[in-house]
Amino acid sequence: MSKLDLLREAIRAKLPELDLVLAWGDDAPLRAAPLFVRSEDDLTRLAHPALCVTNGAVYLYTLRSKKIGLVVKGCDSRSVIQLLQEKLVARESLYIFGLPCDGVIDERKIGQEITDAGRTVSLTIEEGRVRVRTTDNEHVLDLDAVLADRCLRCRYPNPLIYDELVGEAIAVGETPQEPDDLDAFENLSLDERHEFWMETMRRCIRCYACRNACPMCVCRAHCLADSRSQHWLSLETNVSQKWFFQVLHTLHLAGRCTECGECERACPMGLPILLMRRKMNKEIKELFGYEAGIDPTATPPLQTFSIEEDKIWEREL
Amino acid sequence: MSALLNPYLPSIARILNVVEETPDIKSFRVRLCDEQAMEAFRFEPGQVAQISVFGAGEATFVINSPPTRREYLQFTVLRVGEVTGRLHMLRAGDKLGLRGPLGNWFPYQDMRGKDVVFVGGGIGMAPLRTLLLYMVDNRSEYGRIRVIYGARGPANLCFRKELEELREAGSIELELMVDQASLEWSGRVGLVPNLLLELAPSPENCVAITCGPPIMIQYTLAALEKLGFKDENVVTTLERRMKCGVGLCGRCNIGGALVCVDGPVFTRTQLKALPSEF
Amino acid sequence: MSLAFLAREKLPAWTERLRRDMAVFAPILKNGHATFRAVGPNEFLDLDRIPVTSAKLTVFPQTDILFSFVIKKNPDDLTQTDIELKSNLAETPRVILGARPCDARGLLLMDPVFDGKVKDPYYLARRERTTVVALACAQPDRACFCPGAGGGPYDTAGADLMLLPVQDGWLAQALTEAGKKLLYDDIFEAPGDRQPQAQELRAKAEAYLAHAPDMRGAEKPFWRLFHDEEFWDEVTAGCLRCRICAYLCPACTCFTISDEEQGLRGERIKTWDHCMSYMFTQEASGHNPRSPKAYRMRNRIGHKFCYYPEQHAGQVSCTGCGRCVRSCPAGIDIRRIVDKIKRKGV
Repeated sequence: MSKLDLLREAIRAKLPELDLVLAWGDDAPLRAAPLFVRSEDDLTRLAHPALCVTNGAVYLYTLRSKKIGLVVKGCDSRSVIQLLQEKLVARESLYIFGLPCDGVIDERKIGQEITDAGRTVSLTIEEGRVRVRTTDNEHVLDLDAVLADRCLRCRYPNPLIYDELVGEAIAVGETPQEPDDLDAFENLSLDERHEFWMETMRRCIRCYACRNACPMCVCRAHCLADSRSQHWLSLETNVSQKWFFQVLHTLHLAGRCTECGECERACPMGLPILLMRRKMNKEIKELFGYEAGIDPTATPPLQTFSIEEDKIWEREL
Repeated sequence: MSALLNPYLPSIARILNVVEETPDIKSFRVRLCDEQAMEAFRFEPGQVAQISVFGAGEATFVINSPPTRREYLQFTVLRVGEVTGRLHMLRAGDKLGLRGPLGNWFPYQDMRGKDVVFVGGGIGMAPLRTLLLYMVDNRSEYGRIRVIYGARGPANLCFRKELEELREAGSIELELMVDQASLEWSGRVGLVPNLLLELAPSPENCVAITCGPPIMIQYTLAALEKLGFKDENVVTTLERRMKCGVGLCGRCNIGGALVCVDGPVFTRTQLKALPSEF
Repeated sequence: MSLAFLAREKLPAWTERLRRDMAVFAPILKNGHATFRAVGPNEFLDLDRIPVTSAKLTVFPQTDILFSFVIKKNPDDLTQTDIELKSNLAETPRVILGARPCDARGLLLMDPVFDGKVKDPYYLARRERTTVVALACAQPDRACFCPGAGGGPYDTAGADLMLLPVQDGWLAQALTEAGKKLLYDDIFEAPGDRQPQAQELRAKAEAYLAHAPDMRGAEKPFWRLFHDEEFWDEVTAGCLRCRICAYLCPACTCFTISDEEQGLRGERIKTWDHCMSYMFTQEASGHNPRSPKAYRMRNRIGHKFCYYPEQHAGQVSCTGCGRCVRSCPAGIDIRRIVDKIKRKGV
């Protein structure tokens, strides 16, 4: 049985006990959309695992009063763990189907490889290859060339939390050594980095997709960026306000961001905002030796206070 | 550029004085700084204006004084949020912005020769006052005028003195009510819709106008229906978050109607044609 | 009908020439995404990719200053203040270079909103000074459905000049005097025998979109489903309430007004807003008539496919450009929602 068949059967078995199951449906050929499985009929729409890019954990907070099933990849499971750490969802209200993951396809990368990706008719995944049939052409691409960047550096292909594992766990081998864009970025001067972000913010349209796609952003209508009772931000769409928002968002995610990458994927302009959050996480790792979304019993370092912090050493700035 | 051509540009008005009606309600009496514009300012009872506190923003208020008394324009303001909070800090001599008159008005011509029942709750008395005073100023054109008005407590009864004086003068019949009993109150205690059912005004040749919190309006409309008032003889005002106030920003819609231009005054007949998104 | 030819390599020269006399708004490519914005000197235009954003910012900018205010204190009595307001309307002529037919149609859908009974002078000042150079779509994609909204990949509605793609450039068809003026002699050439090629591309594009779902005629089924909460919950389930669909849509015009102050001075600005945001109808009293996300989706769909067409002779407030479909992070497809309404609301 394929992994997809195993998943279908697993969900079918548990569905009667659950209000709904969050999985992925093959609604668009280059990526799957979140699928809210409420009946067995919905199961026919389940998508191939390599297309399951979205992070279902983003819906958990709103659905916290229901008993729901959730299918998670390794990266998604870290978001669930983080939500559990912060007591934003209750473990008893979740039934987690763990889906070991070899990586998901980044539709933007397909768009870079072929010019008519928008006219895709079908996409099939074969051994290490992706066959994309468009209206006028047929393209065969290397799967590795179109996997999301974050999959290429993934350290957690197997979910870290689950009630049942669907299929075989993936042996964690050597992560391919890709030149890391974070290293390249850190080699830039401060002025160059500033210009990089200013240019990025010029293209930002302040749609808040990055914020709303983030599973950790539960403030919703009370977000500081939208607050009018305190004018933290003005509503002007200029670089300084957009930059203020990005910095605010990143700081609020310090010690909480699990690098699921949804912020960057959701951005309609393809802005490289995940880079900023990864840089923040690197700082947190160096300062506190802490990584978000690993241990459900841990406390995020910025949500606790001790007079003597064991992990903070004197640092040269 | 004249304010006529630019619907977003407010006129500047000067506060003449501020009246403290209740612990959280103040009435502001203003005159447009441009004397000619003030003389020429015409409006109908029920129309509103967008009042600006520059820096905080705008909020919508009914022009609370009747068009028959134009030495000043009055706006009665309940302090609930950012703009109203800043507004409550202003005093006589301060300036604010005014865009108006906006919206539609009470169909007072259709009410001529009829009895009128006003049913108000809390700050809802503010729009009712405009029409009430207009009718008092044109007393002979209207029949029996009854006012049923309730608030949380005696200190929250807005315009209480003025209403009691009108009753004393014989212009109106008045029933005041509070939600909860207290030592300083020896009058009626309870909820306005229940009092309405108790008094049971006859729907014959009678128009009912109601304003107040959404839940009060809901029960009052139900009570009026029970008493046999026809839909075209029941009038209310609807509230919606408003920004442009002139039908451009698209925010205040209920179905295909815009509260800022098709309202805020609606008859029951019109309400029934709208989807229930209140 | 004036027909001319613009060679591909002459596009930068034409752009620079236009920039001499007016502000040029065109799709600029960066990181694989083409987005409309004001073109700077020697910037690379991308007329091949379908732009991610719409061209509406040309006449309806994301932030628009209504007026600035200054509070002046009387030096002899500091409690006495005076308020001075200053407003400015746009004066620069502008051209949208490379508006897709859906962008041009979007302007026509916006006109009745801002140029109706009440006129928005800020919009009109820009609109009156805008020339639309539309670009026909030879390569519509999966997300496109303009014929279903009353348009088409080669629709000329709203265009002053129409560019028709051919292999080595574009045929240019002037539709108005304003469009004709832009056919500079030293940049444009005779069309040669390129018309059959352009026609062939047109036929292919229209055939590709032959099965675009009809988005019109959903008014009655919508009303029948108004109170079906389960239906609206289901179609809204994945929505993240971001602002992508409204901001990218050529027909969405909702905005908010806010005061941004710094001490005794400030500005009242108009900025794009979104009906899917919780705060859109939040009242100061605390009441919110559209508290559930499903009610907001119902209002959004209702406005585009019911209320607007009821007031505009059946024309939907949608251009079928597919931008919302392409960019929605949760894969919400408005075609599917309208289709479900039509099938379920019988």
